[in-house]
Amino acid sequence: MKLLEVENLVTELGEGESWLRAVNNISLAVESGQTYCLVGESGSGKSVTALSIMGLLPQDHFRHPAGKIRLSDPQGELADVELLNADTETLRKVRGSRIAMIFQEPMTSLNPVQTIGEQLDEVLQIHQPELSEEARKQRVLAALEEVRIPEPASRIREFPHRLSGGQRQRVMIAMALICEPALLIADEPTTALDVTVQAEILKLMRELQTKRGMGMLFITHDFGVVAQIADVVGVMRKGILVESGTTAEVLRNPQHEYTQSLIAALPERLPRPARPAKSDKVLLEVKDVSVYFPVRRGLMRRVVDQFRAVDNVSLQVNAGEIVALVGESGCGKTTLGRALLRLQDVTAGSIILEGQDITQISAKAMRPLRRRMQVVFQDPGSSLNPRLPIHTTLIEPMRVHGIGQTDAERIQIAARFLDRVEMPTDSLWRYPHEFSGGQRQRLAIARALVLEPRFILCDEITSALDVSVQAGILKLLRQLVDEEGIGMLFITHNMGVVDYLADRMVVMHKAQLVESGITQQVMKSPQNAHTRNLLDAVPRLDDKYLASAI
Amino acid sequence: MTEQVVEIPVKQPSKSWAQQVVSSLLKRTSAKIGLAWIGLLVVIATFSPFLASSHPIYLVIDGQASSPLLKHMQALDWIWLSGFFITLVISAFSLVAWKKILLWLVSIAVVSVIAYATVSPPILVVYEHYRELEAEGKVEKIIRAPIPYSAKDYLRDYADTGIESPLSAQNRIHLMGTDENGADVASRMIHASRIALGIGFIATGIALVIGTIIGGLMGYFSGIVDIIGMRLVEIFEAIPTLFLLLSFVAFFGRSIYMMMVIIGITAWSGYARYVRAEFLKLRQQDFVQAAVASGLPLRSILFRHMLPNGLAPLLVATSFGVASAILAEATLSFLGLGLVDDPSWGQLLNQAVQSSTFNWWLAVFPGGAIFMTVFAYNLLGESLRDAVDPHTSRGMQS
Repeated sequence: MKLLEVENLVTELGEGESWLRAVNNISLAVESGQTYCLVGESGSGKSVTALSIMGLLPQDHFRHPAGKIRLSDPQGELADVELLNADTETLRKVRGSRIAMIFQEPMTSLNPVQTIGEQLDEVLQIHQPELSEEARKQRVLAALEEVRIPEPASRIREFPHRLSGGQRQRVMIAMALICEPALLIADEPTTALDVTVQAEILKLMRELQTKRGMGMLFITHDFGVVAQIADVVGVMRKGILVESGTTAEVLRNPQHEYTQSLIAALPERLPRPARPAKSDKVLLEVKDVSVYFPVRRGLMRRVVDQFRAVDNVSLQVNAGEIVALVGESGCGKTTLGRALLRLQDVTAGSIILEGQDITQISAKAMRPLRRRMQVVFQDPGSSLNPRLPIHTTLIEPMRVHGIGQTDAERIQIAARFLDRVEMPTDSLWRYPHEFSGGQRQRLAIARALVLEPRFILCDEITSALDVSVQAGILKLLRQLVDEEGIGMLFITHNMGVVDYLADRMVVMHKAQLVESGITQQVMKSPQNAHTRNLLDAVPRLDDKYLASAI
Repeated sequence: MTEQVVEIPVKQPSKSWAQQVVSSLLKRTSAKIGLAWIGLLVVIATFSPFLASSHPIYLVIDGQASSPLLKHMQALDWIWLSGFFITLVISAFSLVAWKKILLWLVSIAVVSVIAYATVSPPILVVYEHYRELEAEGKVEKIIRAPIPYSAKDYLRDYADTGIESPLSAQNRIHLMGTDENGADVASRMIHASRIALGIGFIATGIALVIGTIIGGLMGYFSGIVDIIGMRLVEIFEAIPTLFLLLSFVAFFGRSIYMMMVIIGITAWSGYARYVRAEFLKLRQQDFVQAAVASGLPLRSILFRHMLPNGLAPLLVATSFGVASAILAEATLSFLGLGLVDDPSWGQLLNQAVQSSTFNWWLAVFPGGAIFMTVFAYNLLGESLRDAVDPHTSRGMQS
């Protein structure tokens, strides 16, 4: 029984004379009890499709030259509704009661000044005004119970900031489902969450869907999520639906070359060239490092407690080796990385770089040592100074550290490294905003490389990138490490990346190191319960998985 | 490392951020209006002795040619003139911005020293002199300024002069009337434009420098520096500027420079807050952390990597600050506590209500000028805010 039918939908965004075709001639159908997954890289038009269905596109900045979106009622009690270009009143009645939507960012999708009980109650007041206050309260409690919020009776009086990201997303799901909609649209609902939380939320959504026989349109960029939740999958690229079919079919046997390239770009499916022999030279050694942040209270700002961000962690990185530091958000992995580079003071323990203890040396003495250890950060949007052209960004550190005699020579060196990270040399004269996210990350890597460091820290450098871009960067990093003999600590939460890149891996949980070892061994037989959780949470689309599951 | 020769393309850098902001600023009508008015004021202020003066520009008596105007020009007039041309010359050079500013400041300082050392106009000025000579028929040739009255020419030779509405006097032309002393209002307004511009720029300049340094240190070091700095900011914010100005005027007499300095040292707290907030935010940005990790010196981190990125709110606040400094001076003059003899818009405005009748020309012209100037700065500030905001400027490009 078809619940939602989209026929030849065209959506153009813009204003005045300039219009950009974001969605081009898309047709899809969602049935009750079925999950339709729209997959695509950023800018492929998958979110615009969802917003077109909900009629939530910014007013006067969109138009639909063609298409139909029909919402039917599986029970046949309610009339069919044409959603495209429908008037506000029609849409308002449909939204919330027959179609509900969940957004990506749980941190901002709840109103921070209302309790979660009030917010859930308001939805009921609007859509089911016939219910009494007591009945509404029962419904709210039941809804929270359903999404497994512990102790819902006391939780309804809490404000959103008291809940974790996963719990907020559960509340969002409860809010979306409280009026029992026939169709749920979820726009990357788990992207901002940790992998283990993501796994729980996906399981919950799956369960609720089967229980209610609801149709679901699920938008994601992650093939792992597709494998977990989708019945039918549609692959989008530049506004066009290039391929659709049942999940098993598309994942096992992709027809369109774009789908093939996307699946091939997944880190777990990248080809692995042979590695050169590893050296045993210890490059960086971390011994029992702890980083505590004092918790201050009261008028005199007395230290009442210590927040332990990193607690007694030891690890070492050899030359020519990639060590992956894995953990969920808030486990202290980024703080540890910052402490290694002396961007953050260490409370206890020692950091030894090439036999020299750098834990306590002054900032001034540290400066010449900085060229030996470099860093690449997570966010491509902020990793380069937007006001400086690339050549200044690259040449200034060289000048400070006395690399090259003249600026002309330094420009030659910079150009060589740009070539190394596969960027055109004329990028030197351009500004960061002229580059895409992946290109900026390459430039950030070049900035780290120009100082010819012995050790590079990569802090989630691919997590903001699309899979195909990520694949390119990962290949580049491996090449660099193999050819230059650099030691690298790669902070990530993506197990596929760990598997592809890392020689060894260490797992952190709640500020402590819980497991470390050779990547293959840890992956195969994790000793710690937490590592097992992490590994189970993400399905990796390797051959074994495709052969067995789905 | 694979050794290979890489050809460096000889290519000009693409548009810098500053160029982008300027070009996007110039696309806006409101910015054009604001800039046009301020530019007009600058030209008027620079050439005010040539625009309005009782001294003839060129005078031939008994076959002897002279230029009383040039002879009577003050050191300040020369500084304004040379400053104007130095600005024009320097802006033609292609130099880094901070070098240009440095060069400008140095040349102005040199010119000031030379001007005060060498220029000594006659102390006793008799404006009536030329008109008397003319009446006696001794003048063979005379070229006068467009408005042939100085700001302090009280027309004593015409006897019973006083407040007169525009164009009401016989055998004299006062386009904007005269004030209570009989001085030409148009002339006084032209000469007062310097004060309006000067007080805005100098007071705001002082505030900007103090605010940026204190705010920058607070933001970068945070902790105890921040706590002390913020208390300092709160102390200064508690001082009512107008009251302080009034007490200083009462104790030390009236000096326009003192006013500029006092407005400057009480107005920096707002800028310090802006810079502090920006620096606190920027300190956590990845590119600043990367600069620290590259071992760059503190000076480079603060002024090359952080300040240019935190400038946007400061630029906007500055344009509003200039407007409010002009208003503060006008308020003070309106209250009768401004300059005594020297012209200022606020002082003219004050005279509009002092005599028994309402002298509309003393309200409309100076009031209009103050309004237009403040409005122009606000327009500029508003457009600057839009121009530096990446979201709106991206919108303009597409």
